[in-house]
Amino acid sequence: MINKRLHTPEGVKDFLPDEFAYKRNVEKITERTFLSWGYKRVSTPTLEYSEVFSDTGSVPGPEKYRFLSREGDILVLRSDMTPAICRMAAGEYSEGDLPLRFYYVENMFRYNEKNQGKMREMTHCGIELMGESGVEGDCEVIICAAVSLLNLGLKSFKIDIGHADFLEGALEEAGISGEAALSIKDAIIDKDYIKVTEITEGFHLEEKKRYFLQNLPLYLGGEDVLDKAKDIFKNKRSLDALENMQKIYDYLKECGFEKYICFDLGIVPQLDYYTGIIFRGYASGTGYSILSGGRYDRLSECFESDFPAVGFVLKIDELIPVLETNNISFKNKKADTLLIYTAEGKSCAVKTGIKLRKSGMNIENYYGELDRGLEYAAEKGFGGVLYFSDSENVRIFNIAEDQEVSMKVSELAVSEE
Amino acid sequence: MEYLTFALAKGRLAEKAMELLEEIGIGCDEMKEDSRKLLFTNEDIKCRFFLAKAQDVPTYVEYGAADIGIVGRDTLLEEHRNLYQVMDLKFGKCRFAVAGRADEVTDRLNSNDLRVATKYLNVAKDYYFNKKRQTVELIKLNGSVELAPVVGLSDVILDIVETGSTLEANGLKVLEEVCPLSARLAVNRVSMKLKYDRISEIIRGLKELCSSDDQNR
Repeated sequence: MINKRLHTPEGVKDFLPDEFAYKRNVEKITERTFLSWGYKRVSTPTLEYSEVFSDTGSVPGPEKYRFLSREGDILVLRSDMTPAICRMAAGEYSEGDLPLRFYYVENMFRYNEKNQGKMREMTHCGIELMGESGVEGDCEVIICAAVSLLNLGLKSFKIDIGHADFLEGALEEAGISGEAALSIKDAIIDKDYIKVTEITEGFHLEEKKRYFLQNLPLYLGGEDVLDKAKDIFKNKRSLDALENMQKIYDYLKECGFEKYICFDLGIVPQLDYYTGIIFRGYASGTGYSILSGGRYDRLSECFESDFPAVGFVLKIDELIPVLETNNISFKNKKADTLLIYTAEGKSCAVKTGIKLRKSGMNIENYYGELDRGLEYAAEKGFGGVLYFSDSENVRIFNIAEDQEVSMKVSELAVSEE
Repeated sequence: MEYLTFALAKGRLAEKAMELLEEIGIGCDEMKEDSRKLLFTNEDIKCRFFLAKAQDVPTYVEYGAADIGIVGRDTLLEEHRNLYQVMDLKFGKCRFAVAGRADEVTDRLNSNDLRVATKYLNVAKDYYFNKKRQTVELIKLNGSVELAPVVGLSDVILDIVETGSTLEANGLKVLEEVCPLSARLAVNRVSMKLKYDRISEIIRGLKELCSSDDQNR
C-alpha cells in the first residue's frame, strides 16, 4: 500500500519549471507553425458525452475515463480531439463556411497500459482541415506535419503513409471475409504476422497474394511498393487507394518532401473513423509514434453533417524524449534579474522594480544580505543583480561578466510602456 | 551507422538463436568467451547482443532498448507488448496445455467450478474467459506449477508442456491443448521503420534458412 496523499495516480505527473518550460517551448513553436499555415486555435471541453466517442469509432471503451454525472449521463474525459472538433464544427458551421482550419493544444486522457512508459494524461497539438476532399488537403496536412518537426529542429524522422481502403479491398479480393477478415485485421493491428501466416494458410490463395499478406511489414518504402502492390491486387478499392497514394507521392516529390515519407501498406486504422490515408511519424528516441493522422471523410455524418476532413496530431509527450535524444534545446531569451535592497532602499526598490517589470524584465526579489544574494544569483544563473543600498543609490552587478557599476537611482533608465 | 541491438531470452533459446544468426552472418565471437559482460558487440557488422530474462525481452523490444528480440511465444502471449512479431523461428517447440488428474476433474473441465493454477495469468484469462467462456478461479504461481493439483491447491494447471515427463512423474495428464509454442522473432515498431533495410535483410535471411531447414527434414 502507498500513502496516496503523497503521490499522483498512475500515468499523470507534475512538471517542474525546466521540464515545463521545455514542453511549452515545443508547444509554442508548434503553434507558430500551425498559425503560419492559417489554422485557428479552438478549445473544446474536457468533458464530453460518452456518445461523442463511442458512436464514432474513436478510442475503444476500456481506454476511456468514464463516469456518471449527477444527472445520470455517462461522461468521458476527452480521449481524442478529432470527434470533439468534428462535433463542434458540425454544430456551429454550415457548408458555406468551408474550408475550416482549426488547431488545438489540449490534454487527452486515456487508460494506457500500466508500466509501459506511456502517460494517461498527454498533451496533443494537432490540426484539422475540414472541407477539402482532394490530394491537396492530404498533402497540406502531411507537409504541415513534416514542417512542424523541422521547425522544432528535428531533421531525421519518417512519416509512414498507408490507406484505410487498401487492405479491405485486398482481403476481399483474396476471398477472406467475415470472422477470418476480422481476425486477420486484429493480428495486423497487433503486428502478429505469425498469426497472419496461420490464418492465410487456411485459404486457397494465389501464391503472390499469400506471400504479400504474410510479409506485409516488408512492403515498406517509396513508390516501388505501390507498383508491387498494383501487380498483385486488381480490385477497384485497392487500386483507388494505391492511386491516391501515388498522387500524394507525386505531389510531395514535386515539393521536395518525398525524403520524409515512406509507404506502409500494412497500416490498419486503429481508429475506425479513418476512411482514406492514414499516417504515423517515427523518429529515434522513442519506441512509439510521435505523430499520427489521416483522412476521416464520414465522421461528420455522426454529427448529422457532411464534409470531408483530414488532420494530424503531434504527441508532445512522445516527442520530447526524441528532441532530447537529438540534443535539441531551446534557449531562454533573457536571464532573470535579482533585486536586493536594504531597509532604507525598500520603497525605492519596490517602486523601481514594478516599473522595470512593466517594461518587460523578469525580476525576482531576494530577502537577505548582498553577499549571499550574489552567490545565489551566480548559482541560479541570473543575468544581473540590482542592489538598492538606500533611497538614492543603486549598484548594478553583471553576473556573467563579473562587473559592477554604481549610479543614482534617478539615472537608471526605465523605459515606460 | 547506428548499432542494431538484439535481446535474447537467456538459456537454450539464446544458444540456438545465435547459431541461426551466425549462419546468416550475424555472429558474435565476444559472446563465446567466458566473461561477466552483459552486452556483447560485433563492431564489424555494428551489432550488439544481450541476454535477458525471457519475460523482460518483450519489454526491452517495446521500449526500443533492443531493436530485435528472440523469445518464446509463451512470453509474447503473456506480456502482450506492442511490437512486431515477424516470424516463427520453428525451434524451442512446445505447447500450452491444461493438465490435471484425469480421474478427478474430467467432468468439471467445462464448468465454472474449476480452479486453475498457472504462471501465465494473461494466457489463462484469455483461454478461459474469452475462448472457452468459463468464469474459472485463477491462481497465480511462480514455479513448480505441477505441484498445485497434487497437493490440492487447484484442480488443473495451465502450463508449458514439452515432453510431458514432469506431468507424468506427478500423476498428471494433458487434458486440453491450448496452443503450440516456439521461438519468435520480435521487432520494435520504430526500428522496423528506421532500420528497415538491415532488419528486412535479416528476416529474409532467416526465412530462407528456416524454409531450407524444413525441406531437409
